[in-house]
Amino acid sequence: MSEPILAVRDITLAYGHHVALHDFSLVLERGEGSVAIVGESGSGKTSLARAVLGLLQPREGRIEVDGADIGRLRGSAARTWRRRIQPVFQDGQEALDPRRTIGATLGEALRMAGTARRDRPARIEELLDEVDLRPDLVRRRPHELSGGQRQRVAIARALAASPDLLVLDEPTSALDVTVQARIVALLERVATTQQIQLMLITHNIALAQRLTRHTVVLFNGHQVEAGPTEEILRAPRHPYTRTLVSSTPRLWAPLPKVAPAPPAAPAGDGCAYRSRCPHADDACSVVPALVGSPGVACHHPLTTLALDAAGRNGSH
Amino acid sequence: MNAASPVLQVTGLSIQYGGRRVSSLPDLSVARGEVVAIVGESGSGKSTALTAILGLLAETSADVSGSVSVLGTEVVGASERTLRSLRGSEMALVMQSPQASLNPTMRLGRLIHRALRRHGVGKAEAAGRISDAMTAVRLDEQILDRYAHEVSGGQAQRFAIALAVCLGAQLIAADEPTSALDATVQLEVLTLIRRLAEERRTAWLVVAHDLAMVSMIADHVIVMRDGEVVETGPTRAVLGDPTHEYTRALLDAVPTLPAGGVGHV
Amino acid sequence: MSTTLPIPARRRLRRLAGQDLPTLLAAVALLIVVAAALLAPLVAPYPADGTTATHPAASLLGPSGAHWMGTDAVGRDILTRVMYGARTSLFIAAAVLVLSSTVGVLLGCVAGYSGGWVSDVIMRVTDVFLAFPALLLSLALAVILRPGVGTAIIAIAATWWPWYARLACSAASTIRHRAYIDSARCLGLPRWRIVAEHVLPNSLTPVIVQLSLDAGGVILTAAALSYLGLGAVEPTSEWGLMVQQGQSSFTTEWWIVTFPGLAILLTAFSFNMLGEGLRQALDPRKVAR
Repeated sequence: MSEPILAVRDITLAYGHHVALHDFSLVLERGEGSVAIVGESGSGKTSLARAVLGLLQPREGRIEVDGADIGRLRGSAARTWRRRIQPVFQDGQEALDPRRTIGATLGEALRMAGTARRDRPARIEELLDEVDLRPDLVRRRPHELSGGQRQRVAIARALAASPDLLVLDEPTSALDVTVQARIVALLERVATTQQIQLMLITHNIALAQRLTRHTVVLFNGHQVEAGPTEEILRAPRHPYTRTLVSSTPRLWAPLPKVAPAPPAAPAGDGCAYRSRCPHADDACSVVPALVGSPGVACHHPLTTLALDAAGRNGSH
Repeated sequence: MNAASPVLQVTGLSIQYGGRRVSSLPDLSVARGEVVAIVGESGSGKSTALTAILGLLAETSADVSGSVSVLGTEVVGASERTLRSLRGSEMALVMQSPQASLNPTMRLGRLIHRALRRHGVGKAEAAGRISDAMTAVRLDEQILDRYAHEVSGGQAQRFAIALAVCLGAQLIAADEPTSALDATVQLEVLTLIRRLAEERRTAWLVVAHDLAMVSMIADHVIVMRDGEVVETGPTRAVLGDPTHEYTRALLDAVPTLPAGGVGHV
Repeated sequence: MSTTLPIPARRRLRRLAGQDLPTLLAAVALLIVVAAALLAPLVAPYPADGTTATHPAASLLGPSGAHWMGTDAVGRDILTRVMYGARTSLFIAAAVLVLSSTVGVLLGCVAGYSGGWVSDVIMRVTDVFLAFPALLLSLALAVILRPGVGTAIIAIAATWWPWYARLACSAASTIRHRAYIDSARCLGLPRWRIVAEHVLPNSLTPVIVQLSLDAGGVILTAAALSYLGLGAVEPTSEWGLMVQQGQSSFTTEWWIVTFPGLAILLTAFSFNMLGEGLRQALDPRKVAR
């Protein structure tokens, strides 16, 4: 049995005094499919992405790639690990050096991946073809491209490094809907044809459903639920996940008649979701651990039965 | 004014920059209590149309022709004075990221008081109006002691709507009012828009790209592409049974969960 | 709809040349000064006067057909010396700017990109230099060293680089948070390559503008040093030196002071105008329409 492609072990991520992610663990086995990290602003999802990419050092815990602690890798071993995990950021405009042509951007990635200089032009053409871009774009600069094209170039650059894992940080949220759909299709395709696993960072649970097999839900720096994406969407067990799933706009969904949630009071000790949770009681003053598989971090997880009842009462 | 006449009536609106037409809206009307959505992607001209309707293109290089009538007052070609008196008291704009559009150096309470005073509302009346508007958007009045950056995105958006409500705006234009908000907050704002339309008979003109959201709140939909209207009609008809292939493409592209599944809360 | 692209720099420059008359005039004036400097040995009426020759018999002649700008106390043609003076001034300006911007931009980029203690150390040293009034520091250095063109260059550059360091540091510290820098890090690019290949080129726009705004200031400072006897020395043609030599007789032989003085004014002013124009033209906040 090979080592997991990615193992995040008990990491805590912080900026100064602000803790962005508490005591987080995640193991992604090779060939096990893709994983979504779902959360809203302030959930710590972007910090997690940065840590996995090696752009943010964990305050505690470690991140292993193929069993090696990336915090301890140096020199060529570090460069090899770097190439295995590649990012695609939200905004292609920001993610491409504005002064460089597309050819130069991809050439640099190929050079770092060890492609010989004479092989690069052909590889660049292949990469552009892979992401459905015309080969004559090589001489263009980012500002001459559309948002969708830029995102394709960013994906091509990531592919140039022949990665095992792509970390996608809101890869489509800056794009128009019809363009989003095409980028999602492209990501699906490269994940399958090139056997690349995805780590999707998003606030959009519908996107997670489309692209990933597993989902981890974060709230306010805490992992509140984890499990197969299907399960979580069908029967969320954490009250927060349930709110998240049910508040995703869908075609023809009726608007809730209930009053909007009260403003979140200061969290204080205990469960981070306590102040917004309809089921909170005294037990919730202790931070709940993530238990079970699929896991949920809640003292009062919703059972399927309770959920059905709630669903019936809430609908009209 | 006839109660049945629309709050907003747009006829043959066309906006050009340097001879190039960027947006045209042949016919649009929003009645009291109605929510009309303009949907489209970037470059569709939907936001340009909205800014023209609000008279915000008056002193730019844009060439606006046609007619935009708000409660019987013509906006196209109107003087800055006329526009100023229309804005706020008759029509208001709610933007995508409210925190950026609210003055950061003022507490929200002072902001709302000043806006009312500018529109000639006396002190005694102001207090009543504010508390009424805050109730309408279900915001605690404590929030008036805070600055824009001290409240959440959803609260700021509801405050922006409260501001429009207490100025008595009968037409509220909203440019992507939920797209900068977290998913769990979006529904609150959508509910609020719908409720104000129903309870206060506010007319809403909402620019959006999210068709799922539009299907939840709008009575009428206008689909725009490359500056032209491709399809228009009641939401049920346009999104339920689109006749134009572009509308269908937009619908297919919406990353949405299957309807049903978890019960709607 | 809400996204508008910055106009490509080249197009913006072209547009600038077409529309902005003051900037265009400044550019033309500078072109003339540069041409005069480069071609002085060929086009100056009395090339020998630019360096060592003296003609006591022809001293203090007023402007005439033979000497358009008159002659100085030792009979040298002022026009010739103004043209040669352009060589000295432009050379000093170029040397100072190259020296100070190279040092400043390199340190600034490293500081801005690295952040943390590296940035603290570099920027505190920079602050120390900035704490002294620039001209005083230049004067002090020039007094310690022997007067001459080289001294002037070193003395001025020493007070000028911190500004570039500041500028580059602020540009680099913004750029370091861009996603393309993160992408480069994820490809495994070593730190120095990221600075050299991504941070540096993208920090240059404000520096280029500043260079052209500063050229005028450097020329003024160089002239001031020479005027005080701490910069260029006889027989080098230098505008500041010429002004100093002619000032005592300003009321009688006005031309000795006036023409080099005008040359200083015109050149410094033109550089400022050009810099201002460039700044507006290259402003990335300007958007396409």
